[in-house]
Amino acid sequence: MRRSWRPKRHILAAVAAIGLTALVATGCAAPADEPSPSNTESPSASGPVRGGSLTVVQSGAINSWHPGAISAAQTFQRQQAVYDALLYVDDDGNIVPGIAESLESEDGGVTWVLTLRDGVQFSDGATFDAEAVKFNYDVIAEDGFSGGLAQSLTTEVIDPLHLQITPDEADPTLAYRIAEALPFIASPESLAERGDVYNDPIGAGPFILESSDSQSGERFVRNDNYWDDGKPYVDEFRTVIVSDPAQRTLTVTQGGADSMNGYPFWFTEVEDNPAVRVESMLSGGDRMIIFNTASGFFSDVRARQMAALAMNVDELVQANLSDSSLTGSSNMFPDTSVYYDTQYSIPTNDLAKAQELFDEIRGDQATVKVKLAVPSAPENVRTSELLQLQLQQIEGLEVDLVQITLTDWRGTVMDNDDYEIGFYPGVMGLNPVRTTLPNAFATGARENWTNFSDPEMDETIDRLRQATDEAAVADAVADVQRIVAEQVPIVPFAIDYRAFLLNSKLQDVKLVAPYILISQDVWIED
Amino acid sequence: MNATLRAIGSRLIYGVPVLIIVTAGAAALLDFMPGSPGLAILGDSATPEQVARINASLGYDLPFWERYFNWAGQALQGNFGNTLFTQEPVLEVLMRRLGVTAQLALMAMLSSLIIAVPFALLAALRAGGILDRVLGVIASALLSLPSFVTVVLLSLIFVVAMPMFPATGWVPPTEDLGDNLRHAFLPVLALAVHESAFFYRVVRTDLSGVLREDFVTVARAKGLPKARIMFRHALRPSLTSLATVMGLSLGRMLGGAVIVEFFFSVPGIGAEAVTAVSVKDMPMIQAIMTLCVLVYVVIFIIVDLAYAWIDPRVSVR
Repeated sequence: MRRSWRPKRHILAAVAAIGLTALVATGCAAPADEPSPSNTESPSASGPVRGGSLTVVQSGAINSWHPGAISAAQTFQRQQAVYDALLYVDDDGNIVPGIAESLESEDGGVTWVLTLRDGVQFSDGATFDAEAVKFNYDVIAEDGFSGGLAQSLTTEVIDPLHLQITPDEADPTLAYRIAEALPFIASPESLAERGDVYNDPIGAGPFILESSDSQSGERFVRNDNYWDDGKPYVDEFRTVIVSDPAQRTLTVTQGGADSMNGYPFWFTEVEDNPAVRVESMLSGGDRMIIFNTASGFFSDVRARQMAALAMNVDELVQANLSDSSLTGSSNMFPDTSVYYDTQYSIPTNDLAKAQELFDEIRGDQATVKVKLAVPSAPENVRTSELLQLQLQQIEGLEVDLVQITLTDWRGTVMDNDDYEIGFYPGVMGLNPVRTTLPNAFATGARENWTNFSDPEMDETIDRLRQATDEAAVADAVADVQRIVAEQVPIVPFAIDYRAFLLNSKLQDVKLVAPYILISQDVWIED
Repeated sequence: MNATLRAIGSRLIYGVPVLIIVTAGAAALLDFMPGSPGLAILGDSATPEQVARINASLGYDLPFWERYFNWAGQALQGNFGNTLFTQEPVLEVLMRRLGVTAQLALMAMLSSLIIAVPFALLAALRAGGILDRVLGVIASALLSLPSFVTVVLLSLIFVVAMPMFPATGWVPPTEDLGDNLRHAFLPVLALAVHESAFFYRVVRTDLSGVLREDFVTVARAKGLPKARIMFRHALRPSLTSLATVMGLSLGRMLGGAVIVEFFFSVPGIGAEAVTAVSVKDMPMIQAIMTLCVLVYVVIFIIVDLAYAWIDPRVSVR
């Protein structure tokens, strides 16, 4: 009798084989990425090693290659690779030279002289001289970039290595402002052909852009004619784009990239991973709550004081950074700052006094409703929900939470003043004080989001701008803090730090504003 | 053949009004969105005059109907304009993205079929048995998992707990096929998890109906082996529903598996669509809309033709 065929066993075997095909085909591969680089030369006992590839992970694509278009760290990092910067602001808030030797004034900021280095060339062979800088500043002014700074400057070529820069008004802080808003110089020939959008950047920086993709990132190769002999050390600089912060962290810890910047609380779980290390820098700024001082309920200073008294800044920062060990601060400066003074901390966490002030303001109204605008990032929303709860401890006060996308924040909230109390997205920078405090608190200043206007503050800011020594600066800054503590246009709740997650093999990492690393200085240990 | 060509032609013609409605709607949307392309390019520090100048040079100061007709005229000649920031031809960028998404979609589709159909056959063979019930529960569980949960779970398993695959990124197959497949594994698996459960349910349901048909009873009575009955007689009639859902799935995936591409940083259509909308890159948005409509029209032409092939009694009109 013929033994019958057993289809079940064959089917099961076939299913097992077929079902595993996809997994086997894709799973059999080289081992997980090794931390970069490859192709390094033999290690040197005493200095940097040339070779390898440096990859920085970014959260999004670059907005523009125009030398005047500086919007965020992700743009600055890429532009730095192509252009280098005339000047940098290091993490202590000091100006350090970059591709320029110096920018100095000998008459209290009335005129400045930019001194360039001899022998520097753009990657297309053009000479990096004073004419090139002047041309760039003229183009940036014409094209509407730099926040009005380029438009406020008059430039005159003294000789090929010296450019005189004259601001509309005497400005002792011009070096900081140029490091922040006008640090990059493109090849004049390429810039002249820019059309509506400049997307073929030619600079004199350590790298040359080889390819760019708005989803995948950029690839830069070493500029062999870079002015600083021997640099950059790495052969290649790449950016990769990963939108999700947790995925960015995984990408670095896995070796898919060598560096990312972020908030310290993003990296607490990987701090002990030997493949990476975390370095922090004081961002020189505050996280804060802002008030519309020009209209609405909070145009009354008592209302702002009341809101501050209802806040518990420790709870706010703990919610914001997901770290219950943190302590908040309603002072504008960290306790390590020369400007720090406890008497200028804004009074908070006194509910009884807050209720008293509220009862004084509300008169016959049983209930007062206010709108709390919050940019819709998860950490902002959860902190604002906590703030809402804190404020609603005041009997008779109702707080409506209104979420606004980050991309629409400027248009909706700032330009249209469509808010009463707001959670400020990001950080209010305080470094350097001679530019940031005027920007934030002078009447009509471009970053005066609170519409704050006070004659005493304006006078103090003029003093700050004209100050020629540190004692005068400190005196003016103290007065700014006193007025802020009295008038409460903002309530800072935390000093901000930024952290970098780095491949353990990266050496000579120099962190500068705005949260980037200087690509030409980095080398990779073999 | 003439009837087939007529059928294809008529379906293409029916797609035209859909295309017009969708693309005109996208052009009109720009007027309702806050901000403008000029502001997105120049940034917050630009003056209103400078923003207006950029908008005018890019044609965004025109009323939407004039913008739309200008765009449509150029699109009919194959020119979809340039991307907002990089000024690359939209068509070139789109084709690059489509290549990536198509690879993911086709691999996910194939994987899903390889997993779903054999299991459906097995379950149908032992309808009501333990295997059938267990597979039913698993399929229900996988179907109920949202894709944003699936991607996180897969990442936890295959990146954090067992670091076998890269967390993010993409390598083109032309650059390194092995690396390409490694980078594609997790996105493909994330897509295939849901689709295979879906296909399983559809095939399993159809099979249970077909297996009660008279011709199957006759085949059993003749003493044909079970495998022959399943593969030769029962499976083919069950494929019509599968063809429909495959078309829907493929269209959905080719339109951009947004969450999967976004999470794994795969440079496909979905990720490009998210970026284009966030920066108000209208040429790219309209090109993606056009592509989505065309994809669905073509896929359903193929599905209709597939019906006729699966069941010769069906004719395409």
